[in-house]
Amino acid sequence: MTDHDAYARAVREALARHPEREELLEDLDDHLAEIAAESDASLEDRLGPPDAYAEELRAAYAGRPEAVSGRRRPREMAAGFVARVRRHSLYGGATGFLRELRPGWWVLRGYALGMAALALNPGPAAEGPGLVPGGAVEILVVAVAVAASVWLGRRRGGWPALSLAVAANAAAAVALLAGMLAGAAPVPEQAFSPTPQSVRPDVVLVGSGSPFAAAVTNIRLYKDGKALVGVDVYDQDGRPLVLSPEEHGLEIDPACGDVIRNRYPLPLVTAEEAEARRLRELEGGKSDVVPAPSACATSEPR
Amino acid sequence: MLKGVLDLAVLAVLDDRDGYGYDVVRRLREAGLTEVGDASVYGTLRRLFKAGALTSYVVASDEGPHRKYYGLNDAGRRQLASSAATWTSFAATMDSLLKEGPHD
Repeated sequence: MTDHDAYARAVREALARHPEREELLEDLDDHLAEIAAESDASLEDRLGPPDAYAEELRAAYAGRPEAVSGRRRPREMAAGFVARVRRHSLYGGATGFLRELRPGWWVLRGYALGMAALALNPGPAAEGPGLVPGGAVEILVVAVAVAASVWLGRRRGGWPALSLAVAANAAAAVALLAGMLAGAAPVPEQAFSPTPQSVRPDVVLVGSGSPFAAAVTNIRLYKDGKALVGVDVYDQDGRPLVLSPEEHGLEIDPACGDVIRNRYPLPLVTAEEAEARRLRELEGGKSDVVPAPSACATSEPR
Repeated sequence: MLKGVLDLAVLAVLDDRDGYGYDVVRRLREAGLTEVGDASVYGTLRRLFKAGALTSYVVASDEGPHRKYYGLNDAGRRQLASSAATWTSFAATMDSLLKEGPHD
């Protein structure tokens, strides 16, 4: 929050659902500009976080002035702490990232609730709930649920929408948990393409033809088109899902040190490259060894 | 701050002379209400204006943003007089209560 425009915008957003918003905020910009012009300190330093400012404004406009005392109230101290945390770059990065993930959650939430609704009301043709909607009606139900969830997510402020969103999130979490438990239960054998018993149990791509050709050497995770890194993956029984890239000519990048084997994506390099790196390390010392372009799992997504 | 007291304080400050939002905040703080919140004062001004107790006018400023000044109208002055009377009697009651009480 560097200037009074951004601060004013945040206050407006916090009061988006206020019935007399325009009247209340009519000279907010001029007012904040006045305060900003008086000192170099940021508005957030001087006025606290915009949310708290908006709440105080709402209270005063409703005729419920905030208590005033000679001491800093715990709430103000908390607000100050929150403001400091918010200004920290890590917080900005984390919340920015979470904000980018939000639309994905909205879609997943709608999908989960739609599928849960279908599971609770199986139609005559339904063979029980699956992971994907079957007939046209099911697709329509899920599409409507997703649209409603996204619509709800895009709405801002106001307690009715907020409480509805909280309820939807809780219901979706329950639905997802139930779905995962159902997914962990034994499933009919025809759900998977038959795997020859002679092949050691490995992760294969289902439905891509020969299980030999479709060996999985690494797992890349994406959320809303953004690559996720450092994600720990487990199977249905909570066992670490570990692949065997070594059987396919790939190795963990030696420059990455100790790598957790179920943390994906793995920083893989070809066996030749790994050997070359080890040689270089022997010759030039550790300081010269840099991670391969594959990057170690702990680095930022590129 | 007790309910309605900030209203009275704002009305008293504007009775002295007209002022814009931040000017009112500053004058209240200078008068000793050091912890008064900016948003509380701004919200109170907007509410008093909506309630018809204040007039407002915009004054162009060379160095800064335009300033919306607020001043008391007749309704505001009546409200100030009645609130001030209530406050004075309330304060007198509290004074005597505290003097009579076992604690100082």
